[in-house]
Amino acid sequence: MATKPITFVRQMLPVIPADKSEAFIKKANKNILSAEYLKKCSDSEKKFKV
Amino acid sequence: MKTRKTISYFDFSIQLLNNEFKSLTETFTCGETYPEAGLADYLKNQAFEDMETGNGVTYLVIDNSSNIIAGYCTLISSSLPYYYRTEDEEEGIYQTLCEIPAIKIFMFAVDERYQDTFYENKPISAWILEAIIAKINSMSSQVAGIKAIYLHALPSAEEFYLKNNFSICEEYFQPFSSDDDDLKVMYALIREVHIVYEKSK
Repeated sequence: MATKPITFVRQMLPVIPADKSEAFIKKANKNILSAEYLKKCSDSEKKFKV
Repeated sequence: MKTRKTISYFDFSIQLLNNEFKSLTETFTCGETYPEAGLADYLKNQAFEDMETGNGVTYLVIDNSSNIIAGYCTLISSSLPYYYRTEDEEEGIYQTLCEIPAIKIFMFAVDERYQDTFYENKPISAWILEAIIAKINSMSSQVAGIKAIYLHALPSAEEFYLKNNFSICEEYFQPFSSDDDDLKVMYALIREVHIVYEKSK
């Protein structure tokens, strides 16, 4: 798939101000899949034959 | 409205796409209208070439009882970039392009015949997605560092991904540009992320 030049991203991607970085990372880390969910995924994978 | 079907026996396998499956891909369908129909087009017309050129690795989910492709998934190594702005006494304000190592689920599709099929009260689509997440999680400890999984969700699939622990991408990080820029980017983390404070030398 063709990708557009990186300059396009430069224009579109907002910059995280230093004073907001901690909040940004904290918010992002709320989306970590839990160990329980990853175990469930692993159990699901085992149901499939290779 | 489709009728919900329940199966009592789970007999699916996950296999890498190769030319032996060419004829099976011909019957794969995700509906007659676009953009959903495009998922079947990709499998039939582009996935084989992408396997050769390094543009994507496709895993097929085969229903062994009927020898039908129930679904497929194409993965690409990628990253979620973000710009970080900081300041030091010597150089003043500068910004750095940083990245979160990620796997992009480039394609994820379930054949129309399995879209409302359940096993143990869970849709086949969720069984497949969970198996793919487990595969990526294994890769992250055995093959290469991976912290995030992301995808461009078709509007009709956003709810499915939300139910399966994906979230809409944060405003400060977005994947590099692609043909799917008009779709919402959704992601989940499999490892904790940290900001890169030091400027790359």
